[in-house]
Amino acid sequence: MPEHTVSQGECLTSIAAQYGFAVKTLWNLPENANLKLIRKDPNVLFPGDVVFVPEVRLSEVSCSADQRHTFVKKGEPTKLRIRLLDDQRPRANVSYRLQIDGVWVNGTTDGSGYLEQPLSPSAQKGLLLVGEEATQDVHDLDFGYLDPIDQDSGVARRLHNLGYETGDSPSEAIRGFQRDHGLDPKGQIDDLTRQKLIEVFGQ
Amino acid sequence: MSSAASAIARLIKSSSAFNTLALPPAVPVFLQMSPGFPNGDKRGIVGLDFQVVSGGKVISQGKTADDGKIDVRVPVGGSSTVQLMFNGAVVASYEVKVTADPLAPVAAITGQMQRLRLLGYQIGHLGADGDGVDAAATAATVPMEFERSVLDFQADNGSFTDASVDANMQNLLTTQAHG
Repeated sequence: MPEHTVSQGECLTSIAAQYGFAVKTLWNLPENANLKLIRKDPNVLFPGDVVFVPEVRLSEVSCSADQRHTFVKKGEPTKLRIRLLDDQRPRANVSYRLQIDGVWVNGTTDGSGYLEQPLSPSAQKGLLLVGEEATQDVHDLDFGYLDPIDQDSGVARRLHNLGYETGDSPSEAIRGFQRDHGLDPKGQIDDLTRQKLIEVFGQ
Repeated sequence: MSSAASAIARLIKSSSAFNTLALPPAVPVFLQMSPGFPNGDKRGIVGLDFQVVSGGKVISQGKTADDGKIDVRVPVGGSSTVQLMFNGAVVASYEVKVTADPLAPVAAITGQMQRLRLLGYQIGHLGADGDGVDAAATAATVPMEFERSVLDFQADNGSFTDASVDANMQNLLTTQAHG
């Protein structure tokens, strides 16, 4: 039985694309029911998770000779969607430059501060520059690196993206997040704080 | 886990989920050519290239504003370093960190030293870091430079009296050094 062990930077979308399956096909396999139960979100897997990948079936199509045949590869288009905030308010209609694996695109966030761009399932690295004024904000992006919320790293990465740094003392960052979002600022992670992190971060 | 880059989840097209990137809180810092309060009198260092580094990554870059101001983004629980650039090379750097009680009370001489230094006045080279801020300073041991900087500060604020720091001057020091 072929199995794929998840490494950092992978998600079900990238794995499905690698083996030529649709995300839903893999996610809904009975062999992956347990994974689905634990992780809930196919785009947020944890390194070490095992995904069952079936053998690719050979499908035969009879075609007549001397004619042109078109085969369309079934694929799942993926996208990048990021909400930009400053002081808990959306950064609406700001221009940005985004580099994905070396290719630049320009754009403007919508009225609610969202930017959306197509993203290849295999894209790894991004660089996002926001603002055209004297100061530009710089974000290094690692696609597929988001970890599940029940892992310490899942909490740390979400906090990092929201402007809280857990490197030196996690309790100070957690307390800051709790204070800013109307939770009891006790500086320790709990289910309520995890839930709020998912809500504020977006997944 | 220590990667300072932002982890972003790829999303299938039909997904309604999203990723959020929020800027850390801004700490305004003014770069000036001469000591004193940034009051629009052309003391600011204008158009100087800078970058702000946090967690080993550049998080913003640009040029100082007309009054020399940089909004330094400092993550909650972390710190940022402002690097001033000339011809692409770093010529000076300052670490900015937000803590609950960063300064001694303004009624204490140590607190007055810290605020005068923030405002750019020359207060000598006492103290463990040699920056003029002496944790053990008393009225009897303050150096001449400190008294001179107090007089300078008073002169800049139109009240030339003596080198003593009264309640009025303590208020001025507080509002000018950190609002």
